[in-house]
Amino acid sequence: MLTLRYFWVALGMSGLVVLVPAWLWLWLVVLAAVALVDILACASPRKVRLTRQPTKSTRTGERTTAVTRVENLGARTLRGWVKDGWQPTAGARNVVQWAQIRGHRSTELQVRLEPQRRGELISEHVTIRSLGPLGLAGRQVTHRVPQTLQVLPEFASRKHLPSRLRRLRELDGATAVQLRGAGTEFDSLRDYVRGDDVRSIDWRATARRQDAAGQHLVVRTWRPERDRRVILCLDASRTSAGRIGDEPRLDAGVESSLLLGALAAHAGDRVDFLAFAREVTARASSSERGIFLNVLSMAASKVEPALVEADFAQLPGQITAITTHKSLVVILTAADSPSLQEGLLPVLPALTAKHRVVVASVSNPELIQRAATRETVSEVYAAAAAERAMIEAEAVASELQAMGVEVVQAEPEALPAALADCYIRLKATGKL
Amino acid sequence: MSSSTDPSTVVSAGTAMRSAASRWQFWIVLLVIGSVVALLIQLLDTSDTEIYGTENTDLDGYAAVANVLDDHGVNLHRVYSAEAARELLEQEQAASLVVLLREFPPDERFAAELDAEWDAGREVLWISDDPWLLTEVFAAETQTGARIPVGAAGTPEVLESGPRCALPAAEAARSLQAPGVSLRTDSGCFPIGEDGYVLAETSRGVVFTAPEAFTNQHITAEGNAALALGLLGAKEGNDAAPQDLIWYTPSGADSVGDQQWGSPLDYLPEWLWPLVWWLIICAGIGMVAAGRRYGPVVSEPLPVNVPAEEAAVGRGRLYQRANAVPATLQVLRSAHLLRLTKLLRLGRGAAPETVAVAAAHVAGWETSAVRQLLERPGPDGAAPPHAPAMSHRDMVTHAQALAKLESDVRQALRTRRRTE
Repeated sequence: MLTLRYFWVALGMSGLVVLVPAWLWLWLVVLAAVALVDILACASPRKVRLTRQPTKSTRTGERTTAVTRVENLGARTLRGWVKDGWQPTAGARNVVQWAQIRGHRSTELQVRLEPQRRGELISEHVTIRSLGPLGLAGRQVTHRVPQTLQVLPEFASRKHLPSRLRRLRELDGATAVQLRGAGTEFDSLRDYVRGDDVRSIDWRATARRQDAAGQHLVVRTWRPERDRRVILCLDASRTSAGRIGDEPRLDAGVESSLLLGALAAHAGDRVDFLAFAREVTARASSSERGIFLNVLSMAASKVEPALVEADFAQLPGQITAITTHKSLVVILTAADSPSLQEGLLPVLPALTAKHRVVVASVSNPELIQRAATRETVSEVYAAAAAERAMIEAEAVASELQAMGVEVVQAEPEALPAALADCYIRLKATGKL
Repeated sequence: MSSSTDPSTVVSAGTAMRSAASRWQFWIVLLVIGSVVALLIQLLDTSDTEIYGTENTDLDGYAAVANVLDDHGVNLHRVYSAEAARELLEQEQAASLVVLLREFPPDERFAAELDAEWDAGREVLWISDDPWLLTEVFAAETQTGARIPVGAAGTPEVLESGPRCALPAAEAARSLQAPGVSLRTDSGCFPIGEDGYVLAETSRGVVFTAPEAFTNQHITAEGNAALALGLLGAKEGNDAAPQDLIWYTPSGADSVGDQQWGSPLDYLPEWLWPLVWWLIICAGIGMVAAGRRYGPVVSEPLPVNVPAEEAAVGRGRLYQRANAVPATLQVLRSAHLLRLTKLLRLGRGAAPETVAVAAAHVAGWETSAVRQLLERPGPDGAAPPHAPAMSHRDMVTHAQALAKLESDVRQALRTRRRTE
């Protein structure tokens, strides 16, 4: 391995060639000898022990540092460059670093990472380029020491979580706000205050509580059900690979799953998550150990779109395997896809018979924009095509609604919040 | 917990070398085989393709003559430069000399020296049919004459040795048949016309101007073979004594040494070529230094990703390719009808006329105009039954009017709600 410095030295030696051209061979030998000396004199890049420190999982867009300990096992001082082979989407800032390690000493190689993609990012190898004392030539060796970094989904919709949780608490009667929980589970008896629904007066309790004044009416309060089941089914088939705006449909689905999963877990429901295409590719359950949001993030980070048709026929079986009780089944898919007619619709009756089904889908704002642009002939044709796509999506949605399915359609950024609101509405109205 | 790794994260130097060798095995083997094949081809392909070459077995070669001469104990020494010919002349005092002029003139000094050799009794034979080369060499005494006449079928005429022939070889051969030219001299053999001779004697030796006669193609015609053997020195009945024949073919090699014009490269400084070589080496070093990667290429497993509206865009292009104006308008009308029905809260399945009337009322448009926009032309609708086929421009206007209607309705509804 030669360095650029060697190149400049060789270029400088061309002066000697001009001065004594007859000694061309001598100059060549000198040049080769210098390189050879440097190569022989450098510290061996093989006599190095590399130890990877385990990385902590991080979220997309957040910064982290990957640490590798480089230990020089030889007696010579290792001088040169060390490169950590992170894949490009890991967003490594300083993969190539200068290192100078005395014999039998060690140092830490710190690589700042800013992952741009969720999933498992890998650095397969570390390359050590050891230079000789003159810095003209050296040896280079690649060590296979894999290091992985688990990058969780960004969970940008995290900002919606506090407000949704507050609304849940309001439903629960846990706060001072006088908003009666409208669940079906009996919570407590309390005195009637003006504004309460007269239908909720418990006459029997009122009769028992008659005191001197005889003025106290007693009402029953209800609270939302707990320990209900929420099953999130994320479609990771070919339709999820469709990009809307900057990100694929799948990412919006992942975000929505995270928000709804976190919300439902806080509300005391049992949440199960499964991502599927032809078969189930990822699972998570709130019954697992650990914080459910982390468990769910970890499972969702590995989901990638597969270029196959979704197999909805397996859904009833999978859901039955999870629970036999009535639960809220949330199917995150592309409701505007005509293939839904053959895939999901025939399966739905089996699901709606037992469970409450919500179909959440990303709507495409670009279609609306395309439908509104009508300046030229081509644009009018494109607008008609976009209108037709929207009509078809509308038809699918109304068909779903006719089967008793809740349909949530929103733009990618708004879908998580919309789905969370739908969940709260269902809970508030006791439909779980 | 740290994932401790033993030093065997890297293979040893020997193993690395072996694995590199096995990785490049195919190419190395290919290179070796290729160079061996090239070398073999180079070695085996000795066939002489030079015209009048003594090993050329094609029609225009002299291989037949050379073989017969060899059988008669004549050693052929082929040379291509005057320098080599001169050396051979000095070594072999008894050898005869053949100068075959084909493309290049002979070295002038050597040609002049041949005068003396000829005078000293050495047999010198000039063979050429190139008028220009002949003039170059023999300009002082003779010029080229008429060509050997060619018969109707393209075959040259048979020449007799003639009465003024003093050369025994020609006399023995008697006749000659080959294309060629002649020399104008006073005496000679195989005359053409009055003063042209194909074989003539000059002050520099014997000149034969029909080299075609000795080729593999013509050697068997008439007395060609006898003439060749006679001229080239195969003495009959004297097989035992080996003879030498210097076969000199002037080539570019003669003129390399004494260029009259010095090359500009000769006047360049001495250090220039070493410097050029040095800089080429520097460029190589620069490429190696700059091109060395830090370890293997890192690959990125990218997920699939397709623009979601691609199907809609493709359908739009299909509409356009088919010029589907009615279908396009129908889709647009349905879309707007659906939205207007929702906006005006007319309930699902409201008739287009109802929607049109309501929309016209809200937006303040003329009812007939709105009905024309929203209702399907033809037997179903109330619009003119035989509307002419719509042009593209009309379609754009129509589409824009639909959009305008919807936005007007929205606007009107918004203001109405605000005022309520």
